[in-house]
Amino acid sequence: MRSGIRTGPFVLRVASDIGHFAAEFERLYEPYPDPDAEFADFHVGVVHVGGARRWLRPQIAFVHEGMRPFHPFPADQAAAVFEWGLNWTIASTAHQFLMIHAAVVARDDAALILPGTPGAGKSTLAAALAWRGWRLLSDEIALVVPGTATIHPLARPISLKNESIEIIRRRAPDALFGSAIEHTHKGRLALLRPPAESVASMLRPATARWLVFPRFSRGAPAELRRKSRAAALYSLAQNAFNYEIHGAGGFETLADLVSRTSCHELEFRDLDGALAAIDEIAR
Amino acid sequence: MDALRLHPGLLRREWEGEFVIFHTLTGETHLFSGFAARVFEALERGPLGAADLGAMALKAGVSDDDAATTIEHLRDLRVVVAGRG
Repeated sequence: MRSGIRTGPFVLRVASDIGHFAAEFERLYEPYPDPDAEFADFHVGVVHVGGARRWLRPQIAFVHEGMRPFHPFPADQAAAVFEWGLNWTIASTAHQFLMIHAAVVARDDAALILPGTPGAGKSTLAAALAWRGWRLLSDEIALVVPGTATIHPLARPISLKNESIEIIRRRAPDALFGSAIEHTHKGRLALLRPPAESVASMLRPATARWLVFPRFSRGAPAELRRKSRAAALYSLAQNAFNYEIHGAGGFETLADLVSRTSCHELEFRDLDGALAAIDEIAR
Repeated sequence: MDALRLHPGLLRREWEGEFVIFHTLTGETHLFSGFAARVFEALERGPLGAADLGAMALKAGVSDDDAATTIEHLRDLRVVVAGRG
């Protein structure tokens, strides 16, 4: 297993003593470049947890800088736990960015930001858009450079849940999926490697152009509504991981970002309808 | 009632009559629309007394009780404070 990779602006050193995780990591991160620097931003990994329990129900733990910030998880969830742990690591330490809980895709370096809480549908939309000509920047964290509308890519594997796995598998038959992981606290989960172009462009930022707040619902197939800029700014502030740390500067950054984007809400249960609505505003 | 004024540590953005406020003291962000936005807008021009607020409520078609609730909310958030500054 490679000990380090680059993903967007970050260099990771990764350690694990779990054979099946190492194989999964190699598959999912195969096209990611080796670090071009000795310095690593994050030392992370997943490791077996010792004790007698391991013979009955093997468990693993996420490790960050030698510490285990979370309780152990079942060993077969190692790949998912690594991604969750890395999200947590970035969201709790990378304060050189203003970080929004959002998926981001871009076309011609114009970024579409899809903020949302878990279950809003942002990963499903990001995956579908990534196989429809958009470039994936992230399915989870928008890395905004403070004082600008510039967003840096992460281009990490997309975390798909439950029905979304088969929906995207049908749309992207050439895509590389990791093994399905059952019975996580989010249900069934599979990691999806982004398209090669997205990985190859992981150092190319994009500029915010559209802001769409998705919400998966059992109602209308897809309904796109304009969202007022004031409501969009307020929602962004609620969706940011480290807004409080940036204080007044964070407010100004988000306000400027909202000023230069077209803002919408998208309620959907039908993915085709949602994609058509996004095509409409991003023409 | 004392005259009310805006807390001096507010950053604000306004679009189409809605205001988003960042309070530099509390670190909180607030969204104001409707009557709360009209009060905020008026307070940006200067302090307001009870008679001014009553006239605003009447003009906006807001009941005295609802207007009082709005003002109390703005005071709770420390967006609005007593005094002429």
